[in-house]
Amino acid sequence: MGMEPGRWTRTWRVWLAAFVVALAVVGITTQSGNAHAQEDDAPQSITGRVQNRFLEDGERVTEPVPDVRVFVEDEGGTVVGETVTDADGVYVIPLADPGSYVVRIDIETLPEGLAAEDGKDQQVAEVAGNQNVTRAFFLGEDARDVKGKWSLLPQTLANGLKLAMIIAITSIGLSLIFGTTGLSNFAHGEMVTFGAFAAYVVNSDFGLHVVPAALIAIALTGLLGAGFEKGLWGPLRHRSTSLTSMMIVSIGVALAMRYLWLYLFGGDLKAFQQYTLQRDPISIGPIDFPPRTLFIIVISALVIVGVALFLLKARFGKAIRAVSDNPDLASSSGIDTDRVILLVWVLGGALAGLGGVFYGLEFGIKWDMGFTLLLLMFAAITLGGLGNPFGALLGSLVIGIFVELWTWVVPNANDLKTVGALIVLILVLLIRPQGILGSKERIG
Amino acid sequence: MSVDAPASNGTPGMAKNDPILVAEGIRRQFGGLMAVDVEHLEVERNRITALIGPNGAGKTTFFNLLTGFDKPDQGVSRFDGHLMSDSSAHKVAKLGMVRTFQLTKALARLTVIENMRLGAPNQRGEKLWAGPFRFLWRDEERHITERADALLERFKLSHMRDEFAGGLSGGQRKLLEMARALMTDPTLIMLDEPMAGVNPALKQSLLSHVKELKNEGRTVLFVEHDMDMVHEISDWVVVMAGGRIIAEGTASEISGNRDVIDAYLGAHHDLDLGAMSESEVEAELKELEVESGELPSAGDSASGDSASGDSASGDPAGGTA
Amino acid sequence: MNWDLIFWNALYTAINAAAAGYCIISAGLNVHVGYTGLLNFGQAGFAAVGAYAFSIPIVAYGWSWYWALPLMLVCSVLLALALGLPTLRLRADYLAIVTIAVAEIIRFFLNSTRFTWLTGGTDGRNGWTTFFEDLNPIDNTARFNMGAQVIDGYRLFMMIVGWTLVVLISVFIWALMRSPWGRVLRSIREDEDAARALGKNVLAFKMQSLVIGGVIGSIGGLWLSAQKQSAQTGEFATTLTFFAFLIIVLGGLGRVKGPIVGTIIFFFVIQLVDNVLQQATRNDKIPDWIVDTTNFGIVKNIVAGLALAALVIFRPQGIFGDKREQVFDVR
Repeated sequence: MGMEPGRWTRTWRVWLAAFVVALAVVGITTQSGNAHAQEDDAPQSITGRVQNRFLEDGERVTEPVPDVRVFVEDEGGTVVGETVTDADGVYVIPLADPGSYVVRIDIETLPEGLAAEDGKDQQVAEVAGNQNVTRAFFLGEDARDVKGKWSLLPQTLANGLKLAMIIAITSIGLSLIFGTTGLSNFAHGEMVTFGAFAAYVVNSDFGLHVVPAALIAIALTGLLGAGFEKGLWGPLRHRSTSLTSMMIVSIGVALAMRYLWLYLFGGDLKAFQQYTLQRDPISIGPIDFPPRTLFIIVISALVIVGVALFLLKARFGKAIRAVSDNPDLASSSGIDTDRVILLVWVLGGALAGLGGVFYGLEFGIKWDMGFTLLLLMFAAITLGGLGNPFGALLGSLVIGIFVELWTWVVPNANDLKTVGALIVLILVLLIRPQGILGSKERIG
Repeated sequence: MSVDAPASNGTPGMAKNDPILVAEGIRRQFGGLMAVDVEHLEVERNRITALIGPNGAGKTTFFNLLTGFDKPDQGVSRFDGHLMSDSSAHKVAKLGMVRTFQLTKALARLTVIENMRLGAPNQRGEKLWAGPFRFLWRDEERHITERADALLERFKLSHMRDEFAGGLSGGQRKLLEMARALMTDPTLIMLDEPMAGVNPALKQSLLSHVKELKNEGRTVLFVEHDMDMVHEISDWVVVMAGGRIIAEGTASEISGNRDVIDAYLGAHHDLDLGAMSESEVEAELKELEVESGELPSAGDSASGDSASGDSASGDPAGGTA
Repeated sequence: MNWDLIFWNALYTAINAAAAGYCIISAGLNVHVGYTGLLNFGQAGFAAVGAYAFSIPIVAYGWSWYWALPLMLVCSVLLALALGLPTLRLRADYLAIVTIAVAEIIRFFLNSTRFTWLTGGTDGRNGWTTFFEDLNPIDNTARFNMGAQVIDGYRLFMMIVGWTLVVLISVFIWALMRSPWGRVLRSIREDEDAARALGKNVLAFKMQSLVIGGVIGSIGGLWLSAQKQSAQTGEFATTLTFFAFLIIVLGGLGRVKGPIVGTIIFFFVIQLVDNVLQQATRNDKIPDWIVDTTNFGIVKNIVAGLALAALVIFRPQGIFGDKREQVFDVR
């Protein structure tokens, strides 16, 4: 189970498709090269394509680059042939004799902002008699030719921010529930999945636009939270069930719910009807995002600020923090603890629902998405300091960005995406177990 | 009250003839609150010392700091010449400084005799490699059981020997906890409110057990609210308020100390709590709370001290294990 | 409906070599949860280490089993240390979170295409069980009947040896738990501060418990793969851990017989449900909108999850247990 099953399956498919296309293209150009060679009466040639590779909408895309001067030098450095790429980015340079050659692209003729990928603007070609040798050139953003993958860093960080926002929104509830009741709710991830599927059903089966569908889903997930508190956790708390037992109950509930989603919706990746494919990204400096992602980040940020203000300023928000600090003290000072906890479940549920919709928009909807997210949420709130909602925000930021950075540092680590985050979690526990914002007393 | 108490009326932090425990500059902060700020305290060997003070005075926190259950932000303590500040709780106990808890920690699903056996120190059978081989620890276990049975006899718990400790009454649990602590053969035994929640019939026997500890040559330091008990058995009384030691002396000296009375009155407490029944005290406290609008402690006014010392158990986090 | 086969197959599933493997894994978890009160949500990780740290050196590097076994045990101990060091001095939640996370990390690595050269990827690791096959006095390919269920010689052998192993491990756990060492573990489960106040090095005892239960879990994981003659990554998902939880709660936490009783009941009931649903869907006895041939297998996981929650709430002492002996307090 990868970190974002949908997106990465899709990405791999895109890569596969790109690979197949590339093979086909090479095959085609080779054939056309043959044709040219015969016409020009030269039995051997070097041929290939100049292409630009870049990230769009989180996926890698290649496109041909025309009008690039390509030339071939022999071992003595003499130019023995040159041409310019056509509209398909294809070049063919016939050679009079077999031998060792160096094929080069003239970087002066590249479109502005582009450079040879990894600085590879020349390649060696051993050309035997009657042979067509293929040498492809890839271009990328200009930064690349000095710094390699550094140019991908801003986009990576931005993707990390996006993931962080979703983790933050979903983990506030987990953190508040922990703070007020002491329960590490292992079924919180399934509430996220519930939100995503609720919106999916309203969106696909009832044909409602995804925005109202999301609002309905948020309400339903809030209700689900209330139902959990009223029907399960509240009664368990009142008969003073130990927290260990409650954690095991929560994991049982999580298991049942997770497989219920699998049973109901099957194991494939689902998508909403709207906003799934957005082909025109908005560029902010080096970062490209589809409009959808920008909205998600902005709305998330607003929601987070709203929740923070609520906790800091509103009467009920203060009550939540009071209960988190010391439930006995709070209840004896006239705060209705049960009502506060009910509110926390509704709020946490609603936020989980919203997070589920956002996650579904970005990465697709799948039965086990909540479990994958749960580990990241736990990593985030532990990192920030268990039970501290502001710590949860900070922890989410670190975890979200770290997950993306990890794949940037370690190439092809997509199927090990969450591993980096979990390793960070363990390191933090070793060094500062109370988390970034946690107080020492909490670790007991 | 004992007659062999140190001669002079104590100033806070005064030196003792033969201190077994010395605390120096111990400080502990919770958030912004200075829970414990003890400049200097010496506890004399083979004496019964009472630690008293109003709710929230930091008594239990101070206990936790001395016994390694909490780490001071600053300061050091010495027990019998050993530097204790960085010692973890089990090392403190191994050195002979053993405590009990305000809320008794009888191990509910172990039988009474198993509770007792657990107290014996340095058991070979507690080594993982020796565990599966009974012949390695059978004799030791028999010896431990004999000691445990003798102590149960002394504490009048023999009839409960094979019951689960969870089935004991509150007072019996206090007795069991004290007896279990004695299995470790401690030099200094620290009792955190040994009388809280104990019915009057058991109180007398508990008192005599505590006195007996002194006769056995042990040192006792105890936290107590019950002033009757303090008067009856303590050789020396240390008063804490607001995390500091504000007075020391014999029980009668302390009763007349102006600072002490102020400290108690300031916390809406009646100094002579012993004169009232528990329910009266509770009613009085409630009244005072209503008047002043102040928050009471974690509900149990008899156990008290929750603002600082109990922050761990008030915390939902506390009850997980 | 072939009730004869349904019954015998369910019974066989409850006592076959795989069940023995689950029983051993659960017995290890019982040391953690039942005796010490350590909430290990990553027992699947220990099981995976058992299967892969044993099979990889044999298949990929040609080691013999008597070198692979100690390596596997060392790996298992190391995993326990890695889990315990950062978490055991903290609250129970941290261990739960870190164990579930580490079990997932292990599974990610096993599933990762980068490590296919080591783990065999989706094909799993095969051909490392010849040692067992050679050892088997029964003809590996012979067929035996257990009621309507047919068993081959290899699985019969693994079933017998597996349950013998269960008995040996149970006796070992029994001997440990009646000792003063076991007494300290139980006292930690009840109240670790009390144990600490009596001079017990709680951290060291917890660590020992984690190691012992983890190593037993690894042996169980090894057995689970050995009876299948293949180490498969799919076997070691988080559901494995929660089935083990259900097993020990069913049989009674903190009791030596718990995992055995729990395993037999769990697999019998689950397989019965599975078989009935399978036959019913094939014969169109149940409408497709309830369950069809593609999703009847999911139902058992839903049932297992609900059963785990319901048992902890309503019968924390297990189905045959004495209320006084229940491990988790309803205070």
